[in-house]
Amino acid sequence: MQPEPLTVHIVDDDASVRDSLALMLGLAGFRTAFFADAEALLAAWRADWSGCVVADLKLPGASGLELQAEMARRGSPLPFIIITAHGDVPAARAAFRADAVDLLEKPFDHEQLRAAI
Amino acid sequence: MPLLRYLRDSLVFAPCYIALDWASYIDPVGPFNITPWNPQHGLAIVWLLLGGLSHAPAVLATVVVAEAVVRGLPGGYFIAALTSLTLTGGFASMAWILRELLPDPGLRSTRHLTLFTAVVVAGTAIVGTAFVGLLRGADLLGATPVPEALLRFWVGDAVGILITAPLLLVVADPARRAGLLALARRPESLAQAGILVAAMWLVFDGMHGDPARLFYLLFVPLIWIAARGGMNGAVVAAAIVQIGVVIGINQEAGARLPVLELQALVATFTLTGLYLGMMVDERERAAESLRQSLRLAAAGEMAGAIAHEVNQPLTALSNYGESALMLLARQGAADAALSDIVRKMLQESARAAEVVRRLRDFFRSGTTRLESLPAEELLATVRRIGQQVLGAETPVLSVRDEAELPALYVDRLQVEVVIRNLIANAQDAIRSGGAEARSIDVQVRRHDPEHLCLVFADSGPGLSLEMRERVFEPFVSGKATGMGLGLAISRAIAEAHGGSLEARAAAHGEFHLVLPCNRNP
Repeated sequence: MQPEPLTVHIVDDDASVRDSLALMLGLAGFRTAFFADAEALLAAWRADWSGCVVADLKLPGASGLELQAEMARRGSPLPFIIITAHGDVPAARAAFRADAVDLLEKPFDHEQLRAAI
Repeated sequence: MPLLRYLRDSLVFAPCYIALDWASYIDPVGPFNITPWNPQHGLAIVWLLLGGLSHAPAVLATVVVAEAVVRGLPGGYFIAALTSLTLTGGFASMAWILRELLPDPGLRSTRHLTLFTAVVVAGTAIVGTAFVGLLRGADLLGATPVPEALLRFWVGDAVGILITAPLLLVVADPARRAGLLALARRPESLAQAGILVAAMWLVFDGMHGDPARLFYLLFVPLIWIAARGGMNGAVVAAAIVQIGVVIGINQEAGARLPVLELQALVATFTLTGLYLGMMVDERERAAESLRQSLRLAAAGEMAGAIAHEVNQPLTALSNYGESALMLLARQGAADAALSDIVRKMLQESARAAEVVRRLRDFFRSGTTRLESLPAEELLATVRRIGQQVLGAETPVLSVRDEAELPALYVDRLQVEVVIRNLIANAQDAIRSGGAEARSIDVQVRRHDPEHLCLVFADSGPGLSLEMRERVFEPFVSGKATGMGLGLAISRAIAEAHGGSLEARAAAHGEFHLVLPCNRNP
């Protein structure tokens, strides 16, 4: 199998946010793939994926943080960028402790997102 | 103070003082001002308290004139000068002590009331001793024994001040004055006044005997009046009773009424009324505060829910807008107008997001994480935030502290929000004031054994008495772009910590932020 090129994997339960984010990042020159929740990402994940994950904190089922932990447990090298509608300080701490690259509050600064990716 | 205003105020004060002095010159011991009722002294103290000690010379002059007009200068000029000096000195001292002890001249809590009463009772005892001692030394007391003269002076003075001072303080405060007028308009108040007057008649005329025997009857309407009207009602009731007693005494001028005893009863009545009224006021304030909190909590729930829902479409809007801009950029220079429009749409969506964020911040009760914040770190934080907010253009920011300050026990993030708000506020005040000196000064000092006080002073125009409370109201903003939440949030944070945030009415801006210390260092 051919190793996958660098891809931004987007996980968010809101359809408009997923679509608009994919559109914007696509125009910025990134390859994107999107998933509606944590389970979908986990189910589709393959060890040879490369790139990063942009995940919302609040997801139906497992949360963004739980997804991050599970991916780490499976040995995924993909770095995480967390986006969230809340300005939750304890969650931020937890995300960074699990080695997230960045945590951005919605609606976010596009430059910051691009820099993080 | 401008000379004209000083003269005008003095010309109002002096006749009132002299009139009260003349009206209360009843049953004197000797030809001196040892009467069981001295309301004019209350007037003098309140005038000094509200206007400042600079009024003392005017008071002294008035007291001398009163000696001449009301009592015809018994004992000669020299004695009159000495007694006037004693009285004026006493008033000025009491006014000065009260200014130091009370955070603001109005009496706002039972603690203030107790301090006030203690100062008045002790002060009048001391002044009385000096006054009577003076007269005794000049051998002008005649046959009257010193203790009796002293007692009369002391009771008369203390009662006079205890009745007139709170009444005058209520009338002098615009908010309370409005409350008093509203109270007067109630039909219930008329009934209360009527019952009080009827009870007084019963006490004096009805029993044809010793009015002191039935005086206790007056306490029953007092409970009703204080419970319904608070301090405002109580001071009026005390005034009515005092006036009634004076009229009663004047009517029975022939019979030897126990004037001193009656005055002692009036004093008890007044104190009871003041405390009852004050406690009712405090309870009402607590209830109002609780109602306000409940209202805010309900609004907070709703705001949080709305904020979250609105953030999703705002995020999508912002992403689509950015995408549109990128597409337009690829098409080259064509359609600059379209790009401009899309850019403006993006700005508006960012603005909406900002509003949502600030509203959510205002209502968020938040998980407060309390931790120890040493004084050095606090100062470093203030300097850092000052740097961020003020940048290069600034007003000089100087941070001072006393040595050996204990650590604070606060939520750091929330305290940073407050400091940021206060510094930004000071900066806006200086900008709008346009004064020459541009400085912001932050001083940290002990407030009491368990709290530190941070004083934020700026060279801006400052706040008036009315504005110093209004600035804390939410959604009241002096700025075109402001939402008026900064100070409201800051005060809420300070109070949630068990501290406070107050503004002083002064010619320059000054805010006092009180925060709790770490009790287990």
